[in-house]
Amino acid sequence: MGRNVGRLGEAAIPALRRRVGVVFQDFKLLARRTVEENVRMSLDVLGTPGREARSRVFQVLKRLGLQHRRYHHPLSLSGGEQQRVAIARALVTDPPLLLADEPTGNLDPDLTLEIMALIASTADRGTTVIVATHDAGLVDRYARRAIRLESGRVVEDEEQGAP
Amino acid sequence: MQLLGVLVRTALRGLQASPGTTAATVLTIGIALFVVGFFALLAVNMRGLLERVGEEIPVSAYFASAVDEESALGWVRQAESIEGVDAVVFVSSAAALERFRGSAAGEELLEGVEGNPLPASLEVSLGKEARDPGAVDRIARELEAFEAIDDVRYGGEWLEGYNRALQVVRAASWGLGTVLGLAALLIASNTIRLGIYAREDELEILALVGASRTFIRSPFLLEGLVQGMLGGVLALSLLGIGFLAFRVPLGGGFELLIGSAPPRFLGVGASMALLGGGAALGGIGAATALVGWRK
Repeated sequence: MGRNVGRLGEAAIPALRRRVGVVFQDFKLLARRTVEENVRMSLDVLGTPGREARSRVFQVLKRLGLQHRRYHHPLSLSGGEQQRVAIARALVTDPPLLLADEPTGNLDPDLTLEIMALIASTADRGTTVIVATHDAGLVDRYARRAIRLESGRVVEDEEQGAP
Repeated sequence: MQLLGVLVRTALRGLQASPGTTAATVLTIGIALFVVGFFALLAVNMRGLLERVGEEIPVSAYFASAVDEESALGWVRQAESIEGVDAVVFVSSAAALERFRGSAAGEELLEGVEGNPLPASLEVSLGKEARDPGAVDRIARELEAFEAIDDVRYGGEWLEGYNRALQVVRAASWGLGTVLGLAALLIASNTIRLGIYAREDELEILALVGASRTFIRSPFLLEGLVQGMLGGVLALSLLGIGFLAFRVPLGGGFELLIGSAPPRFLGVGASMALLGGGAALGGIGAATALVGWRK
């Protein structure tokens, strides 16, 4: 981003958030809205025209294997599918940075691998991805740069995952 | 334009999501505006009657003694020069007798009366600007000052009482309007605040994906404006239905009192003001609800 975001004023925060995709542990999906409407929220905020928004939502859902679920409501989906919807919402605007905060914290081991594979493929497509997790084993599985924090301080910075 | 579409869609979705509270807000604003509109309608019609009074019941100035045509013409011209006087007609003693004979009980009352007991008079019609008790009083005093005039009649007490009633109606309209408007404002503000709490999860997510404060707040303001406008439409509709239902019996009553004066509905300006007032109530209610809310 090239800026110290810690010094950003309150008014500048929305503009920063529009350039960062965020995935949460608890998905943060709206139960009353369909999958398509949930994903589209990020584009609505940007003022993306209706037809283009629908097309981009369809493309990202297709990429995540959810196109057949676009008119479903989140509560009718499995945990893994819900997290994929959250990832779709974060990626639909093509942000240069994706932040994933414990994205697999609420998922079983199989779904965890599925979601992490999706996140890894996003990184391979050129998006900078930062994943926060307590699962050291998960970090080791992907030989990527790993930074270990303790009480908010960096205690380790490895180029190829934790030893 | 696209953003506006999104905001309108979000506002409409909000209204649909809580039909009960939306209906309560619309109803409250509608009732408040109905009461204000009712008194405004009453005032408009009372004012209308006052104008008819000026047209149909002229001020009559009676001569002390018989006057010939030539000197009467001089008094007519002098009366016409008084500010606020629209027209002056000389009614000779003979013409007054003729007119009295033509009235319902005139012939019977004149039985046994010798000669012509009716004085000649000037019948003075007032201009629109002079149809209030103060102006009529002034014109009557100026006519009384004519040396040939003995007495001036114009129903001053009635006019003054009526004008006082009109002022009471106007004051009641403002007073009740203010009290009910504040109540409507409070209810609109609270129902919109309830809507905000009910949708906090949605607002939180919108903020997280980068929506600005304006983007998050605008739909609520729009909701308030729409609810207020609907309240205005409800009030106008109720007034219109009531007016149509009671026009005939009320019109008859007025006719008995002072002659023909067809009841009028609120003009375009007043109707627009009622709608605008509703929108303002809803909008201000929403803005107040958003004041204490930070996201």
